[in-house]
Amino acid sequence: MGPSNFTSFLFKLTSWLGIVWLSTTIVRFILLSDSNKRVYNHTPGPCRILQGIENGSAGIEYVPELRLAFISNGLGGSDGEIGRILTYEFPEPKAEQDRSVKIHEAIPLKIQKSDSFRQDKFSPLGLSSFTSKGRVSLYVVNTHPERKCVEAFTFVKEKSLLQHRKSICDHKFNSLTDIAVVGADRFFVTNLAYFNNGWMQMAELSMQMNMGSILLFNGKTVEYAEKYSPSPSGIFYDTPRERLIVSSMINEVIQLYSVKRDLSIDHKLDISLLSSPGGLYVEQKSGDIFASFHPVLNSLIFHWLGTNEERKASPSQVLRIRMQNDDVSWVVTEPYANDGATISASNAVAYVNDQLLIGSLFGKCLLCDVDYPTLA
Amino acid sequence: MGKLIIPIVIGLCAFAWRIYESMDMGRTIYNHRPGVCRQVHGPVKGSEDIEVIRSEGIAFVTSGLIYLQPTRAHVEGKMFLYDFNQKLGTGQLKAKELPIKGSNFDQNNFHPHGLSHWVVNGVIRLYVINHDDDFKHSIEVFDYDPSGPSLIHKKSLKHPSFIRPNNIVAVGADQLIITNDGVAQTEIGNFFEILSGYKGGTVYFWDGKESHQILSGMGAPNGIAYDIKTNKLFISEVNYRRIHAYDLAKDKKSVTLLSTVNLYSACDNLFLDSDGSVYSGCHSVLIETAKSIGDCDGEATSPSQVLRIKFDSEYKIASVSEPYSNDGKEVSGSSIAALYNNQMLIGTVCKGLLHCEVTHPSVL
Repeated sequence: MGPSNFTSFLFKLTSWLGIVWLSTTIVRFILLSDSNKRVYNHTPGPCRILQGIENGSAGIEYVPELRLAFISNGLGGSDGEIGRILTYEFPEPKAEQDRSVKIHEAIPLKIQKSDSFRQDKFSPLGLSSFTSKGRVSLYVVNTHPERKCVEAFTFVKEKSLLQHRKSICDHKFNSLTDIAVVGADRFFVTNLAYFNNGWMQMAELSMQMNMGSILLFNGKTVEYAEKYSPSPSGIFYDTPRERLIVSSMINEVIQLYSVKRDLSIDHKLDISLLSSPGGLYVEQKSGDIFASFHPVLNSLIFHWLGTNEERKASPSQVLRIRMQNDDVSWVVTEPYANDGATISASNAVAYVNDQLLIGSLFGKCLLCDVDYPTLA
Repeated sequence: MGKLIIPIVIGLCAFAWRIYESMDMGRTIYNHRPGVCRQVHGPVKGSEDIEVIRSEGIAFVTSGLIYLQPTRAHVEGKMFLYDFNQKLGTGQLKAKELPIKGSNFDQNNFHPHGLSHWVVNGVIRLYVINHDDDFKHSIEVFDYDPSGPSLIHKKSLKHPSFIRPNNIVAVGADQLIITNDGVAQTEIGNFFEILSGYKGGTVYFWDGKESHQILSGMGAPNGIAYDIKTNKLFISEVNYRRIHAYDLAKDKKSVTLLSTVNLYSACDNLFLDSDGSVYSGCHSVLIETAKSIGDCDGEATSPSQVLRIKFDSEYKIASVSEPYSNDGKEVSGSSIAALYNNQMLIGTVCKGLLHCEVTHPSVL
């Protein structure tokens, strides 16, 4: 074999390998896009829409001490439309008989600015909170492309006001999605991908390159907790069990990490669900993990690319994962599923007193009664 | 010759993909139920079809189906009665086996399939599709005797148009519409019939003496339901995973198609609820269904699903919801869902009968 034969052989080999890689990437993308997946509607009980929220309820944080859920709003707004935070107060558990009569309304909060806060550059997504001595600190992921920051607020209940305290910004915050607070000014955040947004991010996610990351802010600096993570979208800290729950949107798994004293994390297991998880919530008492999903990815892509006037509906789903006593096996049930007609692209969830609160990326927020909690 | 390789490979890949999708190989099932569910004691060998008599609060159940399976001819075919008025509490729910009386009735060659009823002179008359040990078909007619309770065999109807009857609906006294879900009479024949996509399904109207063909060229018409209030006929076409709504002609010898609803699941028998919505027991993962029906007397299970189809007043638009879904461990191979008074009975092809309480109508 002479030199020219060898180079032509090498050339043929490389081009064949290239074709093989391209074909597998395309087939993997077709399988990922859920082109043949169908979603059927069902609810765990009667549901109603929260009044006051129209263009997005993409993040929900429930604070048990105040029976209050904080909801981030405005992701569906065009440039210039403001991002807001609203609250919904859950009724006292004993006030069940009034449930059907009460008007379910979300109240918008005023924001008291500080020097670093820009109202017109505020696009809230994930939220988390820290409560100490009756004071609630709310940490909000700001996804505005010009602000790669986490905004920290103090909640003043009597005035329905959020006082902006400071912005925690870092160049490593590429594509911030969600946040989980573990202490005062100590939190984990997720970067969904390496690229910020637009076509580069979509190409990166379609090729399933696993270039997202989990970061830790320890009060002073931002460090990588997990440098290469498969598209982490939602994140939640389960305080009583010292567990960090992370949802992987493209790999369609929910990852469990144990968190040590020094806030380093240890990967324990992956729960495979074959649906793309977004928001997370852990019920304190039982440890059950509730997660919201985008069951049909191609619908989510079309939904994301639309405008506020015209958006193709995308299905929603909530799954409940009960870890068994051995901590390595689990039972999954599906309390809620919708083809997008009632609520599209569910991105956040909370479970309070046998009621399920479901937030959507660009649309309304749904509150469902769970009639048989042990079965749903 | 070398040039043919590429299109052949592409063709095979496309075919493999089609099989992958049509057998639901990548499909995930999530569990959820409308309320407390438990097995009903009695119909061990399945409960393929259920007929609810709303005025009495009872349901008739067929059990012991053999379908193209000559090796299972020893399985006993039975008729069961479920009383919806029995106390729900925490005790065992029971379905009573109905003895069948009649000199012309051969209990050893009884493997019932679909059934329907009509009230004739104040007596509940049941029409049951039967396959004997040699897979020969007939329609057995029984009168219900509540004093026993028992069934009294009246007559056996045989006709060449009962090609491979699956389900039946009564539209008058001794006036029946039956679905033939295919042509092949053996398992191998059926396998090739499905693989080739041959549309050999037909629907016939039996007026008491003669048979008239209503529909032909269908991909396995299976479940059938009739709404007497609006004169609408519903047929589930399994191979295409869809349900058709028709207007039945006055003389009942023809139909007009109103709409077709894609269900994306292989739905078996149909049940008409008092509010006009149609329920179906469906097989959500066909590859598992094929395995579990081939292992009826064994351990294999397959996912079950109940779908509810609600039409608008014109029967042009439909909304579909899913009151029940299971991976097969609670109920396997669901073929029908029947509702009465906040209770749901889920029947299976050959594995038991499930009863669920419906906690709130919004979960349906």
